Amino acid sequence: MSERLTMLEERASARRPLLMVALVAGDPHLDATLDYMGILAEAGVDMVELIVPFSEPAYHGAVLQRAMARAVNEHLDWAQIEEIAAEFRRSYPSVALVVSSYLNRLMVAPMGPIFEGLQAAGVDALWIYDLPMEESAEVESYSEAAGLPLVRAVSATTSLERFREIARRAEAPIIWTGHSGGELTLTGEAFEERLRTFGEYTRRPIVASMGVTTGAEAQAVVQAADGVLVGSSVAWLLEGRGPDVKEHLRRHVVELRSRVDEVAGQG
Amino acid sequence: MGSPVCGAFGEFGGRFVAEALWSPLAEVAGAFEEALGDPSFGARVHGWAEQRLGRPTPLTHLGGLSDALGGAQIWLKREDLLSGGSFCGVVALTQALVAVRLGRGELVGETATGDFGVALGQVGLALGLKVRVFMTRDDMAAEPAAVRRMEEMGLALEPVEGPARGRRGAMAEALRYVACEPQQAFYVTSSLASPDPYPRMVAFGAEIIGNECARQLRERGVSADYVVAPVGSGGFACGLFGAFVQEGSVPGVQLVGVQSGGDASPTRGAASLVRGGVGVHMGTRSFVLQDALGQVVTPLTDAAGMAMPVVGPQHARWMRTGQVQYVELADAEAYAAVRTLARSEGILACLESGYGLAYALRLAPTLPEDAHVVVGLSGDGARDLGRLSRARGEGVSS
Repeated sequence: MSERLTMLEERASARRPLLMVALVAGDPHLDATLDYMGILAEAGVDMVELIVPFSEPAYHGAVLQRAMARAVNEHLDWAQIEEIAAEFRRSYPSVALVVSSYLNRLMVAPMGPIFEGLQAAGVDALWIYDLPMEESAEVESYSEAAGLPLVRAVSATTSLERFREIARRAEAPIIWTGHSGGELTLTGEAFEERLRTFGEYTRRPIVASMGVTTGAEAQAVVQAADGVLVGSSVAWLLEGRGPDVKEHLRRHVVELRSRVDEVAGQG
Repeated sequence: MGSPVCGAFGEFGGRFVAEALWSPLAEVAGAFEEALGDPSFGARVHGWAEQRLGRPTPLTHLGGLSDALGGAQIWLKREDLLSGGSFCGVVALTQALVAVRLGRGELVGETATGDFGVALGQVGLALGLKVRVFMTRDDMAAEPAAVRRMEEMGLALEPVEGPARGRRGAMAEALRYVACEPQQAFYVTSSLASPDPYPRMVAFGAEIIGNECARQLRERGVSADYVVAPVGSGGFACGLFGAFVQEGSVPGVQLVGVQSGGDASPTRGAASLVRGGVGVHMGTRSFVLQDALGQVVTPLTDAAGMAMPVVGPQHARWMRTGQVQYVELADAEAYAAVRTLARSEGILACLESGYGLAYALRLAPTLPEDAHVVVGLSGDGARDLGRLSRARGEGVSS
């Protein structure tokens, strides 16, 4: 596990909530991606999720689907993702970076070198949305060989028994996927109760993706979770692509950061 | 990559889904496996197939067309004659009965041509279940009769924005809905290209078609030399081939799956087994139409039921083992074959069946008169009358 991920665990265990923000690589064009990642880093995110666009984003909502549809036209390959990651790492050595995509994007080339290249570029973990634990043995072998951990996801349908096995394998923050473009599956007390229960069985931070679009919502999520993952609201901002898009993005993330930090030390 | 853990067909198949879907699918798999061990389940499927859907369907010898072509004898397995006009009913029925075992109150599925949506309505309503059908706006516009029929049944129709005709966009939305309603909703699919246990469940229902066909051939004293079927996601063909592909069950028969080559240009069409590569899409490891970056290529074909970028894992395995031969034919040939059948025998087949027919029309004249070619006719062609007229206007069929 990278030093950056270890630091995130320390932050979370000190009840300093984590902010993770997702961006689609190549949306609206490749040249902008590093700029946007820099804005996120300077606005104080703990983790950037760089989504490698896939033509069939079945587990994303409409906004991120549109973002990926735009980004697919940039024809990004893994070498370009590694370049972006390496450049980001040079400028922002302390901000964790998770690369994510769907399994098919990883199957078009030998997988081992992809893992090795991402790790060498300074990527901290890889999240494959459609790779459940049961089907992941071979991918895990590449992950272990390269020293690039897989991000594990859990959801409202994950039993405690299953969670314990997922947590046992987790070497990176665990993502609670409570929102995938549809209605939230658990809200309020049920969500808090489930997160509390899960939290007793892992040292890894649990970062919740809950369709958050505002600072207030982010703050509500981190009352129960160790961190919050924000994605579609950023893609929605970038979709506007007005002249002040970067400033809007900066303000949005600063607002998220400040509202999340108000919860620090509580609980 | 090695063999999948769940629902493997050799190196193909599996349950490649987001965590939110894993446990619901595992529950469905458990219920299905339990049902397989319950003799009353199979009896109920067969009883309903007979009483509600109109099975068995005939095996029709096309004497006139065979004579006109001057070669092998052509036979049709007539799924067009079922209630609802297609083979889909028995596929929906199997899954709906599993839903009942799990105590679910709502069937949720997707449809492209409308056939499966109608089948879902027929079966679901009869079982006292709510039915929700996802369909792309383009497909809804292209299939007004099916849409009206589903509306008349009172089904909840959910329009889906999508890049093209076909099931994949609607399928993603249907799965998303089910993931948010895991206690009440039960996902039902016509697509063989789906996560485990769905390929197994689709095949279980559809295999009735092949079993009937093999029995009917025996009863007629006929030994098939070729069995031909269209392959989109491959559910129908899997069902028809199932009885023949088992090692030693029917020796000497050549199975041929025919995919759509679209307008015959090399980068279009829907022939995943001919032009695709191995990948993971729609929850299964199989052959996928994709580019060098692993982006899925949109299949372009006039036949919505063939417009799938990925094929069921059973076909992927049969392709690997050589148990089935897969070819592609252009849309124009399918149109021409549908018209030939209509004019020579008075049978109107759906456009999807036209691909298998077209192959048989090519093949039969090359074979002796005592050879037999069975063609799977997956559904009725009334819904394709407009397309046939337009195709004739554009000069793509004779």
